[in-house]
Amino acid sequence: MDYFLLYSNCVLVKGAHRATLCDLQKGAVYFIPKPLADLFLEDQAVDLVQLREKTEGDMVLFLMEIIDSLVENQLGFYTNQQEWKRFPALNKEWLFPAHISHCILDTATGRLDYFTESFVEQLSKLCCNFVQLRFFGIPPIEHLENILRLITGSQIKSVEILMPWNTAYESGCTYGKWINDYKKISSLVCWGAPSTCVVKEGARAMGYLLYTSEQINAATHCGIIDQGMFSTNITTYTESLNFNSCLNRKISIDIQGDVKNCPSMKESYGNIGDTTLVEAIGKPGFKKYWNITKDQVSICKDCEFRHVCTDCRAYLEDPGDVYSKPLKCGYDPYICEWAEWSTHPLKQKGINFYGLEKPAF
Amino acid sequence: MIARSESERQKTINEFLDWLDAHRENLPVNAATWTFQYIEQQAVPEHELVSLGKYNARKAASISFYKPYSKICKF
Ligand code: SF4
Ligand code: SF4
Repeated sequence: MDYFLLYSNCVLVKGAHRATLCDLQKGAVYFIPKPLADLFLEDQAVDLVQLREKTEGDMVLFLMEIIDSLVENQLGFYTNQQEWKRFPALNKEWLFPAHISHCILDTATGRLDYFTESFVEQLSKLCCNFVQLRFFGIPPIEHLENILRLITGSQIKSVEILMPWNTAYESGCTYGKWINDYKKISSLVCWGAPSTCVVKEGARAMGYLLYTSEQINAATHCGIIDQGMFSTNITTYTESLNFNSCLNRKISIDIQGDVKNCPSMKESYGNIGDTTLVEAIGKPGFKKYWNITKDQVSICKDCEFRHVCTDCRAYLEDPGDVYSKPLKCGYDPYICEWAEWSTHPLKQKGINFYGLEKPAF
Repeated sequence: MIARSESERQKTINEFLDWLDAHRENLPVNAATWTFQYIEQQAVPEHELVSLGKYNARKAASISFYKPYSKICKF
């Protein structure tokens, strides 16, 4: 056995200073040192004879120990050169059976009056099966229940809801009732709550009730880049290789009713009052961010997390450069350290540009 | 849903093993190394099934999106 071969669901992502091995099936990320990453042939296999020849002294033992631990963690296995080619690599195509994969709807008042049967029909035409409702004002119970009933009877697969925490709803057990009654809720996040906690644990990423004490009262809070939000799976990985990992096939309606790529972006493609979603998508420029991959974004292209980290194009470190790194990322792939982005001197230009100086974040 | 007794489980497993033996020649060469798990299907009442997708598939649970919809709140 003179080769180590990664299972095809485990992929190597090289960064400037180290690399990650992402187990896209188990959703786990492992770090490996750069000298080992550099020995991978076709990002798949390590020739162990070559490893022993090219590496000096204690380093051989160190790298072999790492490889042993990768085998233990079921990321790969020992094989030989002839066998290697019998194991095809992961297909890197991203195929998604929808014109639009997901939709964000923002409201400042707690009402989404355009969310009617005909709006659901528009989503259905685009095969949009995933919806996020972001309430910055309290939705009346009857109004939200109407929306949830429409979603229940539609082709939509799941909905995530963000809304202000409210004492009356809490004491009336309204949140828990919604989670129990509407099985398409993946998570209901109540912001401005007395504490941050998981109130009801769901199963398989569905049916979660979460409270956060943060005040999430505007779209300007979006764009957070954090390890807790990494998405380690085949769909995100292949999408990230080929398309923008946040904005690809996304459609949004901001608090004014303007149809946009995401509610935080300036460009509007019409108002939902007089424009259909299909018309908005067909307008020139709507898809312009879809093809910006992480491999094209400065600094991110050198980051070992780039295919599990979903991008942000609305808040950029250099607002004048569409290929600039996301403003709200504090990670430096050259030294492998996370820092607080909001106080970083290099971020101040962007923070001032987007008017994020005050409590919004 | 009442779990099956151990003897009933064993009976089902034995039936499956017999089937494997009887169809050995039609199965892949590595069939002898297969491991399998005994999972009992959870019965979900009809009114609790969720209707999903263009063809209204009826499922016990719905499916969440594969990545964050947006990144407005961290948990
Ligand atoms: S582009 Fe940025 S602000 Fe817009 S949805 Fe994505 S993460 Fe949020
Ligand atoms: S540097 Fe780029 S890819 Fe890396 S964590 Fe930050 S935003 Fe994500």
